[in-house]
Amino acid sequence: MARLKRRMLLMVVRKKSTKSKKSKKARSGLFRGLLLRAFFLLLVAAVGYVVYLDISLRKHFEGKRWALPAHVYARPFELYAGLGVSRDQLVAELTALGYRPTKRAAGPGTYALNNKTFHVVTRAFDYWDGRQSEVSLEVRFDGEGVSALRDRNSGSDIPVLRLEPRLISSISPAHHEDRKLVQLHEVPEDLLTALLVTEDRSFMTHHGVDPRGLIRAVVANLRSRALVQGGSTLTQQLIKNMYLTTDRTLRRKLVEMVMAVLLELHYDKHEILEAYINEVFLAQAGKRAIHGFGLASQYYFGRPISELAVHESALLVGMVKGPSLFEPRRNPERALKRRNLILETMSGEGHIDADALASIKQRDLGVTPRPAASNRYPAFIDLVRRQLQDEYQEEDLRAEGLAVFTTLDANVQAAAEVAVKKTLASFEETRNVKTGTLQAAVVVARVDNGEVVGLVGGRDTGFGGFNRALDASRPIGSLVKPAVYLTALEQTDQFTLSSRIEDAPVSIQQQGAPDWQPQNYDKLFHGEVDLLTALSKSYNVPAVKLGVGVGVENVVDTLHRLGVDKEINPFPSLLLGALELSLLEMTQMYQTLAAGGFRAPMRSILSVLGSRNEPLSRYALSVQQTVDPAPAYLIAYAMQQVVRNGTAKALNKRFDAELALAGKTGTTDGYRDSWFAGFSGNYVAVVWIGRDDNKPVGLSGASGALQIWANMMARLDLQPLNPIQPVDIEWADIDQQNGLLADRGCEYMTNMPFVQGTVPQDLSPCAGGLASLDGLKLPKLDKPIERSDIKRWFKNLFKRKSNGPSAKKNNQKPRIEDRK
Amino acid sequence: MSRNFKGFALLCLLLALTSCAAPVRLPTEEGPVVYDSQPAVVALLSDAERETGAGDLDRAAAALERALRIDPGDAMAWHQLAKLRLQQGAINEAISLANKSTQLANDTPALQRANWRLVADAYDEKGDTAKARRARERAFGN
Repeated sequence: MARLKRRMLLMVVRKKSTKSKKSKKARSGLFRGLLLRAFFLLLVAAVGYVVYLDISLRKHFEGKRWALPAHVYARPFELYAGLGVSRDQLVAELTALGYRPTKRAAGPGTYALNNKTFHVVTRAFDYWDGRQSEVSLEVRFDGEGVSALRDRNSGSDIPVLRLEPRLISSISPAHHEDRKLVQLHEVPEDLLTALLVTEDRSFMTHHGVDPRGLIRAVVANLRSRALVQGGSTLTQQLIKNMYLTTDRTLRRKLVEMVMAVLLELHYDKHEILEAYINEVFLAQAGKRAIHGFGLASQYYFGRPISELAVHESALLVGMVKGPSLFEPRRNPERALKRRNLILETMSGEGHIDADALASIKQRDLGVTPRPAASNRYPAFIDLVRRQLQDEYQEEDLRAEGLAVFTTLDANVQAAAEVAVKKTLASFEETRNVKTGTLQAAVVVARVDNGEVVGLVGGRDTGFGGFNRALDASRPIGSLVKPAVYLTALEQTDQFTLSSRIEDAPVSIQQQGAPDWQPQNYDKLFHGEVDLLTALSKSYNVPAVKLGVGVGVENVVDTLHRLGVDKEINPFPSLLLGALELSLLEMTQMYQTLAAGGFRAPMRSILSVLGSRNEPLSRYALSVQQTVDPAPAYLIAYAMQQVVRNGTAKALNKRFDAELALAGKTGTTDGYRDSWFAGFSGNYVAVVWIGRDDNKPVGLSGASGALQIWANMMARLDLQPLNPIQPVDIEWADIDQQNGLLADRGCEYMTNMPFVQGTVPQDLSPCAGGLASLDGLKLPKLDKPIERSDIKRWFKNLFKRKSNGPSAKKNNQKPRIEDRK
Repeated sequence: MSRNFKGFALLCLLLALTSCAAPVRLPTEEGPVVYDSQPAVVALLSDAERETGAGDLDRAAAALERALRIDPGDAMAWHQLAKLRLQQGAINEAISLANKSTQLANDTPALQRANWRLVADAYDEKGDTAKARRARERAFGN
């Protein structure tokens, strides 16, 4: 083989030698003259045809030989000291990347796990910001995770490195040819040897066609009574695959031979072999055609071609003859026989030690049970393609061999998919609902940077189809309420979380529409409540009153600041969520709330590389502060109360109270849509359940979407939600019966945050206060009121009493707890 | 968590002069701001610094975003990103990022002051002198 390589290097591009012949001797005689002319004409035509073939051949071979699909990658796994993963989790990640356990981690893509040490040799990979080279690593663990990373070659500590990202999708050309280009130096020598001894022994010496080889092949096939060798040279096969149809006519065969000779005249063996290796068809997976040994290696072994052992190389080479006949997953026995035949041939030619042969032949096929799906996350890829469309043409995605780096976290995605499937199935079973009628969608994003890490567009996650996360616009119901309360809390001189509001029948006059009497979900009215309770219990009437009081148009403005781009009509019905939005838009809104008012647009793409790893585009993190820190803090606190003792308190049973999760349930008229939006310190996720025909699903936000949310989040590594307390926030104990200052003597005392200077000044009677509750009585709202009336009424109601001098101000200072 | 990392950073300092995990020092008029980032973040911040020095602001930003993916609570990384965005001319975004850093830097008043100075510069650039003055007051006030 070494000889072969040397020869290949020495190979010189042969220059085209033009052959022209002229007949000179014209003899007398009409017949001969005619014959000669005819011959001459034929010759010109033949030369013309050859020139034509030559031009088209070179044009194609020198240009872009293949339309290369765009390859889409998940986010890479960052490995660093301080990373909170266990050894098992790291092994799982490596296994997903096709790393193999070995005794001593030697080549790239291997690891060795002993009692004391964990060695990994990582693979090199090109990122937008440069190459992560291959590293031979020692990974140390302590009780909390990775404690140190050391380069075993240099002995130095490595602060951080990326493993190569998982390939999650190929955006293939229209003819569905998928391939991953490799260069000849990446291909193991064994594979080249196997290929040449099997397909074309005299490849290095012939000029495109090989008459002796043809005869030899026939003889060999007769002897072994099997198709061991084919008659065509690799060059001919390449020509056939690249340029010609598959019909077996003599004319085609002749053209093939001529073109093979032409190809050899122009290009060296190295180039031809490399082209062959990338061109050859090796498997059919549905519509997708697997071309080239590079992709076939990933498809059958889940590993790069450079890591293949001799028996694996032999298997792939064996498939050239009949990709479907010798398909190792479907026809393992036949494939094994074929592989071993090739191994024997290699041994017969002296390429495999006779002693080693027996043990190599004993090895398993080594094929992974299932190929990594070419498009496992169609709903997420849908989002990626839409975001790519701003910069790239569809043809470029299908042909230019781009590498697209996305934000997807395969583990989060898996958790979301499992949660959707299992939860819906169990709903249908326990509630006697017809199987397959419920639908759901999920979007999960990282809180601080808006990166979409998981997206489910429907319960059949492997199927593209209708993307409910992006394209289903549904009424958002109570998910709108945090925007209503935030609008109020931003008016710090008017509202606090302890502000009182009466939950009693109300009638709203609307222009051009009948009066509207909003109802609560439980059809009851709860009397006077504070804003905190009204939100955490998701009462409707207070939300409507409050929204009308602060101005519906201001609520609309808040929604826009939270990231809803769509135009919104300021109708009062908006206050109960009569607004149709997609799940992605909802996730954007809740991302802003979760991040303390710092909106980061939902992103699914990080960067794009060209086919030669040249950086093309980068999608930068962008952050805009659209809500002031103090009101953002208050609303996050209120949403934590939703989980602690409000409509989402079912989560308490599932999650550690330390996580301090926040969220909001939503249910629309007639139980058509079940929503839940919630966040931890690191993830914000929104879940929707409904039916495509918009019929009732009979699930509330809490009994439906919340369950999927919980089942999914329970599988993730959650960080506690610990919002940074802005400097202008203080805490006070409040008697929730009247909104006045409380102390330990009060039964309904609760500690809650206030913007500095807005803490109520008067003491509750239970705390020894003198304030008469009569003064706080609210007007009975039994007759319809105008919107402007409500506004005035609100202004009066919420005028803080702290304006007047209070004798108790200094000595009755509220207890302020510094929460962090 | 942060205690662990402080310990780790200290240990690395003692192991001396390895570039891996020295606390980040942000040179300012009032002296260096010392902030304890975790080692992986420190490494990426220094990558970003090198890229900025080489004039490749996009790469620097990519390194900072990587750092923030590892530790979204690292006020220094947010500050550096704010600085970078200001250099790139994204003024409003720089202000937002600096505010974010300020919120996270409750334990590091010097970094908060550096953020206010950055915000003041940003408002100056926008021509909003009133806001610039107010930011500068906070930078030098508390």
